[in-house]
Amino acid sequence: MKIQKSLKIALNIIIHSKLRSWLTIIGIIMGVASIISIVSIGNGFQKDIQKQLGGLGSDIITITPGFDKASECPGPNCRSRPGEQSQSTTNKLLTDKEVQASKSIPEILYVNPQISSTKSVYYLGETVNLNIDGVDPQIWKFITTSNLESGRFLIPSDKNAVVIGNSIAKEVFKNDIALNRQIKIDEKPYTIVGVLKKAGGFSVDDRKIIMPIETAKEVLNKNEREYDSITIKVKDQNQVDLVEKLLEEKLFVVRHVNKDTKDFTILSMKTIQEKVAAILAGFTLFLGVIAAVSLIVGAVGIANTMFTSVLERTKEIGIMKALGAKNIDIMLIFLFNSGLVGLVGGILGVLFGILIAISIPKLGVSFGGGDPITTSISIQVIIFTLIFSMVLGMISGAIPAYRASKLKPVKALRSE
Amino acid sequence: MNKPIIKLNDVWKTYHMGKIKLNALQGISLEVKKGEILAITGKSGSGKSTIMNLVGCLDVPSKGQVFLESKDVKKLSESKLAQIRGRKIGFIFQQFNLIPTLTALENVAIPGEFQNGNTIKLHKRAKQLLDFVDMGDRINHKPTQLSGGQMQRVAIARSLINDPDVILADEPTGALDSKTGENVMKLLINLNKEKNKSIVIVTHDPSLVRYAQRVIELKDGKVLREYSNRRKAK
Repeated sequence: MKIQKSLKIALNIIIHSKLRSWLTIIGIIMGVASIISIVSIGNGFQKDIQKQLGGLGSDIITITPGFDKASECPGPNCRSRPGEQSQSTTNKLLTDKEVQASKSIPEILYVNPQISSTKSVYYLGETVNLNIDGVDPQIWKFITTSNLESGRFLIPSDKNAVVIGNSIAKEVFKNDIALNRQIKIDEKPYTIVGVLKKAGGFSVDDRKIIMPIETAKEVLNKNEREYDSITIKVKDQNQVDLVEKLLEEKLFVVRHVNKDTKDFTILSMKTIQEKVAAILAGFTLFLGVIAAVSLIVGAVGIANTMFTSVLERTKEIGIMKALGAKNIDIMLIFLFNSGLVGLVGGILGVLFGILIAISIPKLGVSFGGGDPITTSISIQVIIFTLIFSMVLGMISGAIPAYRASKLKPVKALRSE
Repeated sequence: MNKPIIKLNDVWKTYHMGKIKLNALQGISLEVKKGEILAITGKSGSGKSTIMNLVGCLDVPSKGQVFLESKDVKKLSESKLAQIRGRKIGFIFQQFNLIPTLTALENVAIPGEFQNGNTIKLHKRAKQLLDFVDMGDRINHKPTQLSGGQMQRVAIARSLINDPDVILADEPTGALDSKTGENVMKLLINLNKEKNKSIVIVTHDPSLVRYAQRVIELKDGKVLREYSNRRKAK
């Protein structure tokens, strides 16, 4: 018999199928819809986080003193040996030597040595403990990923001028801080020359006061020529990995350390982004696999229905065999039947899943009070799920179909 | 005498029911010749159904040979046998055995589909056959929408779709009232006359036996007697 005819008969069986077949199909719909919607949520979440991380600048590298061995080597195979401490090594601060070493790498565009600490800040009768960053006023504006909402960035001639994060201007104090107003630290006034735009997401600039490093040294009582971190902007974002390596080598030399006694950390946004993306992809896959389990349960339902269907149609199989149907004809009819159940369930499930994926953002639900959940439907997932459910259907139908094809015509004809 | 289409040569069929062996057929030899009407008859338990399965090549003998067009059916693969069976033998069953989800037209065409026929041509031919059995106005009806006699006529049309040499009718009137049954038999006789088909009627009903030219009567799995009927003028 021709393939398309087998298909037609299989389709005919489905069209005339009873409630039972539809219940089977519903099982598949559930499985497929949950895969589509869960993966869409996962993808949406992934895109959101990547967007927020991407805003932090993927061409930025930060050097900080101290090194946490545990972070370098996660996983069960990497336990610290007995007696070895996995905590940070004693912090030997960064100095001009490291700054010079960084500047000597040609792939690096800007180097910004920075000091940071917290300090009580006074404004209109209120005192709040806030983070203060001392930065190179000339370079910082090129490195930061924050934008100005009003005013200007720091300039080299600034002395008692500061730029503040959006939250400080609008949320931290009862009274909003406007441009050109003054805040006081240790009784000394500092003029607000710029307010940053709200960055949101993972940016920490929202709750920071940024001032020229020379000023900050006085305010924070820091030593000359010692820095809490060095921020670096790379010329080409594709060279981040290379620069990280070069930096490490240089710093090993200037700090007189090696891999085992390493006492500094080099971190690039790109690395963080990659790590987070990998974790999120794993998370989405995990959820998808859980959803796939429900699809497999649906497939067991197909197998069950197909067994019953073959039993029910034993007589018809006998008739068809008497009329000249070959084993392969019968086999194909039932394989197509179960494949079609899978496909129909898959198609309806995809539509249902898309519906869920579209409606979830409209509900405005969010994870932990952040932005509402967004979803991202991917064509690959849809195609994969459709093929998966059809193949699963055919696999579930394979044994019943094989059994049907092996029925002896005489016996099959005799059954009622 | 012309060559037999189906030939049974010393055929035995043994069923094992637990430890009991039951010899349903014990050394039967018979031939179905081109263009004849043969009745195989006997009381229930005489081996009628078993012999009908063997003549129809639906089953293989425990001992002895069944030849379909001089081919030993035991030596053919299941699929090959199915294909030859579908082409050479048309079946008419007591319970009609139409496929309930298909229309009359599709039911008639389906043996042709198993022979990889062209669906459009098959449907055209099926339509002609349904006209021939006077069912031309019901081609799109489902079996459940037809009466017993109508279903049997569809079944007769179906048995003809591959233009087989033999029509094997198993109690063709068993589920019909006598009037309808007679019409069905007339149709079969007509097929024999007009299309020169061999007709094998397997029945316990003595009233059908009179239509046959040759009668083989079975008892306890053996041929009790074989005789010729003079054809009744109709």
